[in-house]
Amino acid sequence: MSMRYGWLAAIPVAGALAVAALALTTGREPELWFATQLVTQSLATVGCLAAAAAFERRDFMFRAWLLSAVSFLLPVVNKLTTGPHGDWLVGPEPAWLQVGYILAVNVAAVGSALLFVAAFFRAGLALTGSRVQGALDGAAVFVVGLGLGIPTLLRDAADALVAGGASQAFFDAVSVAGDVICFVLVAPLFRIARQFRGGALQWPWGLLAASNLCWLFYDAAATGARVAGSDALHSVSEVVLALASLSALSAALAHRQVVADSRRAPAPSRSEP
Amino acid sequence: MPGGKSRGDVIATALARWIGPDTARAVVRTFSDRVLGLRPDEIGPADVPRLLESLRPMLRTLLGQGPAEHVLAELEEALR
Repeated sequence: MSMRYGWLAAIPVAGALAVAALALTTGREPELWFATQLVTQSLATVGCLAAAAAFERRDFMFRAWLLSAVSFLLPVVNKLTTGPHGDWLVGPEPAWLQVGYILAVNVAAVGSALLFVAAFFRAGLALTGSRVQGALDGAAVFVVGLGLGIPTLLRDAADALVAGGASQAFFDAVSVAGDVICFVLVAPLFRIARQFRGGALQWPWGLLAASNLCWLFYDAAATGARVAGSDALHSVSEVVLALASLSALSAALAHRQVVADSRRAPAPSRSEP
Repeated sequence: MPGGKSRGDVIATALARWIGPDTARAVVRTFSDRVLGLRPDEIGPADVPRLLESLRPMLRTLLGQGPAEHVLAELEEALR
């Protein structure tokens, strides 16, 4: 059983390597990034919808996967309506539409991550582990989340103020704020995955935690690329975006597989009389 | 322990497939104490329905309603 989940976990790594290889062999044109983003985020959308479909509508996890699907679907719709060279987020479209869009994407992403953490506690489970372990987890979040996310957020916010609001920097700032919140949820997601260690549910939660972690690195690389005008950093950000999207795809497929396996779980061996 | 595994062990083994062995043992210990006031190795046949009922919300949340009922039915059968 774990072999099958291991293969699912290899998907994001293989996908990110493929994007990196494409960047090295074909150049770094906008068309390439448009295509890789469209493919990876479309796959993530389909995966999340497939995971949601494995549950009934009244199930708690149905809502979590549906929200996750929305957070990937909206950027796909954005790309399909603008093409590789346009971006209506910084165009002449009404500001309320642009702000509504970026808020919807981030609310869906944060809401989804919150539901995955909430599911653990709703199930009546509790995080265990020593105080030292909890303190180390907290320190890791503080160092990576605040050390990487807050400077990126401040830079985007400052650039947005200079540009007068509806600029790429403004949308980056909103996006980074959402990703910082998502990253704060990475620690509990990883702790939940660790608590499920040895069980099939460690895969969806672990891969989701990896996906959320990747978004923060994506933000830092994308902002760094914009500020420094670095093509190399831009390439890194695109590879990380593929890793984040495909990790969500793998998490979704893993959860779908868990549900399928549990439907045909054999009876456990009998107990003493 | 005469013969086979205790009822607590059977439940923990079945849950371990989904939530891992450590958490499965902790869940059986916590729920049998909270719901029955017993240790896992003290669970008797008459206690099984109440204990499985207490596990239903957890399984429904993590696996969904249909799979949860299947897992519980298989457990009920094994513990009969």
